[in-house]
Amino acid sequence: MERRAPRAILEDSGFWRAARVQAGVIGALILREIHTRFGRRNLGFVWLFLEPAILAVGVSIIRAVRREALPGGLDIVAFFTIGYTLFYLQRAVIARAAHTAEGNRAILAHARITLEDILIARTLLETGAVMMTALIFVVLIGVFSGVWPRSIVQMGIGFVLFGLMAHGFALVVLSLARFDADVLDRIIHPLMYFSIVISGVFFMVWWLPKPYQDVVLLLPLIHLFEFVREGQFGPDIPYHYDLVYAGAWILVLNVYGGLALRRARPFLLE
Amino acid sequence: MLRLRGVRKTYVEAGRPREVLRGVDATIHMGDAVGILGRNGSGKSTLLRIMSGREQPTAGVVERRMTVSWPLGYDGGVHDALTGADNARFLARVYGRPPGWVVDFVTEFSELGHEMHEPVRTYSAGMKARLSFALSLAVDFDCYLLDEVTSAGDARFNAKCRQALLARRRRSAVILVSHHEETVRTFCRHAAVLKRGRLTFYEDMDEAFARYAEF
Repeated sequence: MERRAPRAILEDSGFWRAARVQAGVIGALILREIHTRFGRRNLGFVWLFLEPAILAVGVSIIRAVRREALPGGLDIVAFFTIGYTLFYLQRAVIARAAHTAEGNRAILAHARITLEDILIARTLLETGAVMMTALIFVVLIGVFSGVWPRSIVQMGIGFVLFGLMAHGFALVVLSLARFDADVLDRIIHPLMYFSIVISGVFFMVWWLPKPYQDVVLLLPLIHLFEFVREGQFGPDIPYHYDLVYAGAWILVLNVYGGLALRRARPFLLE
Repeated sequence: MLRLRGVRKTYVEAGRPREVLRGVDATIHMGDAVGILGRNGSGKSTLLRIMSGREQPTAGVVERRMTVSWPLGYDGGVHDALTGADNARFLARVYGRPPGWVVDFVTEFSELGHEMHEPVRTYSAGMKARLSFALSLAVDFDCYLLDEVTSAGDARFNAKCRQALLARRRRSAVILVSHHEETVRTFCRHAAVLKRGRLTFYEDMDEAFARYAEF
């Protein structure tokens, strides 16, 4: 018991010290989440890859049987795998937000670990994991069908913006959990299924009649689906997005969500 | 030094406010060993959570000039789905300590052996308490908050905990909440009684026990 390790950084005073503590906590939470979701006996990474692949194969078979192509002659596998990875990110970050306080009650006993830290760690990890998955699909599609994305950088920026927007939604959802996390969960889950239909997984905005286009473009996530797809498929087909509109949503969701979560914290931690 | 001034805590339950703490004042210095006596539901756990910084008081000030542990008890602090060793690495990173060193220290002190590599959800209450106490020693806090942790379980390990806390008495404070007299007597030099949301300190431990027995 006589071996003494160097003194821990325990005082939270000072900006840089606080930032270092925060970074340490978020790093620890990311590694923890890797262990519980992807580690050891769990096949998290396999599912992250298999879910979009199964969807893409299923849709490809249906389309092949019905002899239908996607409008604009888009590659079916390329279209659905990348689209689904975005949906996966949305679901992983937003749908799991409601039960963040219950699910982490034990580790929240540590004053250093906050609800915000847990959400940040989750957003970082899921965004990173989903970007890796998308990259693997991009390479596989490129190797097997010879079609490479026009701008991998634009796709990457799109994924990051998507992660930021999902984070904003997660903050709002978690702050609403102060009223009743279970009821909230029951509302969020059907909304998530519905959002598969109305998000950009299955369609592009230009496939729709004009009046419908205006309606779906009110949904902020659609803009980022379109932005990622422009990076993927290039300028031969029309895209509809407004990065200012998407950016405004990201800003408002994160600022409002952050403030709402501050107010909800005492109720969530009880 | 840990100082509480006029700390109040009110919860809202089913739309009605319930005052748990109604103005608690306390000053804990390095080297103090204070037992807080209180009945079930008197707000002991709430008081510890406020001292640890996990919860904010509704009113009043908490001045924390030393590092304070999380409330050590039978639950809380460790992640059920992770193994003991993964918990050690996790908390080492959270508190900025070398993970390898913490794992070695905890394995040795907790005497969990190969159980360190099993998920915590398979542990008994006593094993969980051993893990959590060893973890807190590895982090090396200035002030330890003990929530009934030593009142039951393995007598030999309790003695080891007491030894470890005694060995660091000069540089650590201990605050223990309990409704057991014996626990407070073995660990503490001063006692206080938490009653109707107020905390009263007694220099003489017997007086504290007498007051505690009155209600």
